[in-house]
Amino acid sequence: MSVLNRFGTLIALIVIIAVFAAASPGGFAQIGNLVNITQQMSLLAIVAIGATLVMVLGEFDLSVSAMVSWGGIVAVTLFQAGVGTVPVFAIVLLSCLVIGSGSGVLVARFRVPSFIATLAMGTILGGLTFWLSDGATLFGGMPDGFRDLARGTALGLPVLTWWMIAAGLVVWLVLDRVEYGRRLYAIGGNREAALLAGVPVRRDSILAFALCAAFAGLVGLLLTARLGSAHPTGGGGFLLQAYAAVFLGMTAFKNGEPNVPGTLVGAAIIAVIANGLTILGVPAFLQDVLTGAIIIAAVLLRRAAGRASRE
Amino acid sequence: MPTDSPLLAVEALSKRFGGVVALDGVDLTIRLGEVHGLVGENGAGKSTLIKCLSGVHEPNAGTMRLDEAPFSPDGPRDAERLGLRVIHQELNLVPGFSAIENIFVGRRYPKRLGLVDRSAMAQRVRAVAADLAPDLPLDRPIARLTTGQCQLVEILRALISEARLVIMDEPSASLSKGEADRLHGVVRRLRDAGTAVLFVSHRLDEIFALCDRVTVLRNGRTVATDTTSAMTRDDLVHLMSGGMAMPGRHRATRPPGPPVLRVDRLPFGRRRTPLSFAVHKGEVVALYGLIGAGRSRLLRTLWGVGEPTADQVTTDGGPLSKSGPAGRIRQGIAFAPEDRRTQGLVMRHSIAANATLPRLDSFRGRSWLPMPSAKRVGAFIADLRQRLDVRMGRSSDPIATLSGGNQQKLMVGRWTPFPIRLLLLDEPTRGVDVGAKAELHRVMRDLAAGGAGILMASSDLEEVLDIADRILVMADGRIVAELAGAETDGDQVLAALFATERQEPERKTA
Repeated sequence: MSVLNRFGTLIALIVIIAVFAAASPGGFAQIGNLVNITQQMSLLAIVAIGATLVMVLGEFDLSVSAMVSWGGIVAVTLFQAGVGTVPVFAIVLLSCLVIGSGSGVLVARFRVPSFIATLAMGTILGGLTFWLSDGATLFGGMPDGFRDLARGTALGLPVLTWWMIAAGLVVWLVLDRVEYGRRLYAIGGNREAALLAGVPVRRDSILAFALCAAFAGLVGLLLTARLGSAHPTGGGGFLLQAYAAVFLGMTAFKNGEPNVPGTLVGAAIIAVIANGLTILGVPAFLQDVLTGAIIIAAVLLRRAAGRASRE
Repeated sequence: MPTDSPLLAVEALSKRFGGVVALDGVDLTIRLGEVHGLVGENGAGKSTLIKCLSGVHEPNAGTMRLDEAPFSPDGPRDAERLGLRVIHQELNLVPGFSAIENIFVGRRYPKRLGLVDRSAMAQRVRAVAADLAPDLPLDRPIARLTTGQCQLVEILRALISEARLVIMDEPSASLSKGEADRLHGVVRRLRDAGTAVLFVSHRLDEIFALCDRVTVLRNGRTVATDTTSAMTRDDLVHLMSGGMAMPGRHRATRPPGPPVLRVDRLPFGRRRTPLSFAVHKGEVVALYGLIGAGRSRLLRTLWGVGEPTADQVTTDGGPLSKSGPAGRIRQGIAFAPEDRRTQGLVMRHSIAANATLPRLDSFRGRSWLPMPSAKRVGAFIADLRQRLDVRMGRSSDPIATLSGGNQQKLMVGRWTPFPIRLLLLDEPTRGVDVGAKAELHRVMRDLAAGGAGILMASSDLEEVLDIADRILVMADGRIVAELAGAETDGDQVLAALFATERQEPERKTA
């Protein structure tokens, strides 16, 4: 019971992989395909890892999709103006840190519900992105060095997979081992108690929003490098899937709180389902239906397991 | 006028919460058509008794009879069905609803053609209100009524449900003098109409003016029930305090050191009355007062989360840090809040996470790396556990798995391995068992002996007399008396507290 309780979501991932492997031994279960899945999930996972920081606080950042699109469009615009790769990275990430801090200030300083603050922020950002791109897909002007940041392999794994591993490791370390992460969990667990224990609640919360935005901006850069182009709504699909991954992850490990290993398992579940169903020839709309159903099932199962273990 | 037939008869009622005895043999008899006062200092068991009567708590022993029939309500709704209605201090009204709409919340609405019949609702409420509170605006949203008017709405609600016993829990605490007088008029009319009223109040003049008989609780027991006309004010105070006095039992005879905290004409409370006092090195100072006197607010202000303080508050001669609790911690100040569940601890987090939270940066393996070292955290917990006698499993267990007393020991004790110059405590032993209480008192005495100044808000008179070197009696945001702990008994403290009640209380603006 306690094993199922602790690792239920991880077991679910293994079961899903086993089912697809049995159904499609020659397609799904090939090493090449499994490695490919890690690449397919990587960008989603990085957005979700950033969102995990904000979720630990008990807040939401609904502007992550707009942030991804913004990052891509700003990057291409700058490249076309002749700016080099390093300054482009710096400018994009910095702009996201600033915008994220803005959401953070609204939430932590002015106590605007994060749902509303980040929804508004995302809408503003979407408008700016559209204006910057004139509504068109932007391409060209990117140096090969930039494109290589999201292409090919290194040490046997796709480069994007390495980005995901790096982001995961850093945020896991911060949340689990660094004082800042421990404080974020304390704020999310009981804001008043954290405040009275001397935690700088405002400052820490604002930084979490800023970091979440920066990870979304990073994904904007990587997505653009991968595709060689940027679309003003290119990040559109990330929002729901990223939070689905975090929610799935909350049901794995750690007493129901957001955590990085869980988020990675959640992102993997979403990616494996999409990949497996595609290989089996299931139409895309049905994939969405199944993904949603699996998320609900996972959360309900977890609730039941939690009740059973308390009794 | 009172008759002799008992409406409610409570005998030998007991209620325990874990190891804490809240009621320990309460007797209470309420007759038909009387106003019965219930008094006792904070923690005497008044609230628990009300909760047993209204079915919120189930007593562990004793009997309750209503009209000679056994009475054991399943919950507030069941108690209401049986004719008992409680009007709580915090009113339970929907702010956006009018009086009429509120009165029907949770009741069966009159219907016409299957729809709510608003005019029938209004008619029924007006019929009752005409008599009791003719000028109460029944159509205005509750949010725009005064506290006194809201009280009247609650009373109307009780009347419409044809309650035979109405329990009023400190109804006048937040009323102005005029409103309180009107409330008294309403209570008398209720009584004359044959409804019995149990009137809980801290204001003794109102008990004498209004109540036919009064019951005094102390430490969860009934110590007296008598007609008010046969009692004096001093009798009542003495019954409540039980003549408690423990001069110097635990006090070291030491001269007070230099002040660690000095508050000099700090504008405080709704009236911004200037407040001045000091806490010295090695001294335990108690803030005693009724709930709502402003003690918690004062401690929070000193801790940097209330109203900002300018240079009226100094510590060791210097101003308090401007950067809230974190700055206070750097100045050697520590704080344990009133409610450990909502303000003190993160209940679902581990013992270790909670114990290390306030001084999280003190556990680094290397001073430049902001990561707590597991080894140092482990040693810290082991030390706390041993010194405070904390009964716990592993330090990774959720703190919610500990008993209240052990949680409290950790919440206070987590500061103690660090140098403390001033410790602010808000109800340090509320709701903990006797053993934990003794342990916490020992910790406080040790800290004071080591040179810390302690400022403790407490509603527990025995505790205050037991360990305080000085007692500051607080009422309505002001310090109304300062007493030396060693030369004071319970009568003097309560007398100082109740001496203030004749003044016009402030209006609640909330």
